[in-house]
Amino acid sequence: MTKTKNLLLVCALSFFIINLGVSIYFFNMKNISSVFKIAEKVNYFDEMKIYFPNIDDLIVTDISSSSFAIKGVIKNNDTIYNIINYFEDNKVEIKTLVIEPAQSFQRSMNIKLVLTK
Amino acid sequence: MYLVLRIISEQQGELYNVKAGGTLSFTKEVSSINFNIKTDPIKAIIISTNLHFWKTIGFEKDLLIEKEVFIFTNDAISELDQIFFTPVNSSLELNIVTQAWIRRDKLSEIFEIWDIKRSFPIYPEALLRNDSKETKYIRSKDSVLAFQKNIPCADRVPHNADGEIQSHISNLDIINDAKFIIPTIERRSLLTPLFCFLGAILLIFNIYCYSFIDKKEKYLIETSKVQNLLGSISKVYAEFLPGSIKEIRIQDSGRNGSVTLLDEKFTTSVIEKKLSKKYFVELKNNEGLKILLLNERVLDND
Repeated sequence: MTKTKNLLLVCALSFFIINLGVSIYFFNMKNISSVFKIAEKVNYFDEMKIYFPNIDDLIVTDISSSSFAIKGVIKNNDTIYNIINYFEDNKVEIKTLVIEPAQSFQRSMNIKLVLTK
Repeated sequence: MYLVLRIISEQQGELYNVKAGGTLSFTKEVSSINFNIKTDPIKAIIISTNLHFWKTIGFEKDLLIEKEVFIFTNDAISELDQIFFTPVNSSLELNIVTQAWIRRDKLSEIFEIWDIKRSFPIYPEALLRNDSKETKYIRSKDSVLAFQKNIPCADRVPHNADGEIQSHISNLDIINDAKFIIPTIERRSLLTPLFCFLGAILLIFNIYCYSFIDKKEKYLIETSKVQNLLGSISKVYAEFLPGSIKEIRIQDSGRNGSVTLLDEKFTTSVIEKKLSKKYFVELKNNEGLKILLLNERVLDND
């Protein structure tokens, strides 16, 4: 009986230690602590104005608490890739991307993005 | 020298100093109401004979094979798991074997009344030893106990016993082997569920973390799908008639997309070769517009 109880204690202790180890791993290696921080509301309009000053007629609209839309006019193809990389770095998912080349002047493009935080 | 508490009843108690060798020396009377373990830092407890049981029988060699077993199972009313007992004490000279026991719930009740939370060595009063030459008579609650020289346990005697009857247990000795065995497993039994509980909480946390990381990685993959589809369209961009593109739409996080063209003669023959590995290519007509649909190939579609 005592041996069984000891064995159970060892098993419980091992279970605890293994999980503790994995938890520490997640905390340290995967930067989990950032998940528990209160998410700061990012003002994407101001940020985009700073990082992408060449976007004209920029409009940022909140769709819901987790998704929002961006609309603007760009003159350079590379800007699209830069915008995609920017949101990738900020862990924002691009649900929809619409590019409409302007009829009169093909170098100018309207872009619309629907994003999820 | 250290202090010992003798618990006589739920309310009544006495404090003793223990000299080297374990000899008790009366200090003062205490009650459960005014007793404070901080002001009287005791190191052991003696439980009076009216609160515990003991028995002595004739010597049998078999009874000494294992000292830490309860040998009076037929005499105790309670089950084995409901009592604490002392090791088997014996006197080879007198050919006797003795053991004391106490109900666990009674001990818990007493400790609760006396507000004793820490664990101490607990000695049964009946197994105190008298090392002096004379028999000592002790009044313990309603009975009189006789502690004879070097006999491992006390005997109840009539009230009219010869000799002086003292009301306290001074000059008797505490015997280290005669304390109740309170298994450490009692504490461990709490540790097992505690570790299981904490482990389960951590497991839930780990699963949550794992799924979060998975989701985070998914974001990157899905965002790169947007890039992939955009890159694929760029590769075939030269095949579109200049100025014919009305709209490029990438949907569902890059899993599918469409290119709306103002070119009625557009065919997919050239671009299909370049894109068919990754995407299902389809061309639709819609009121003079050609819509090139690109849908990601997944394993289920293959």
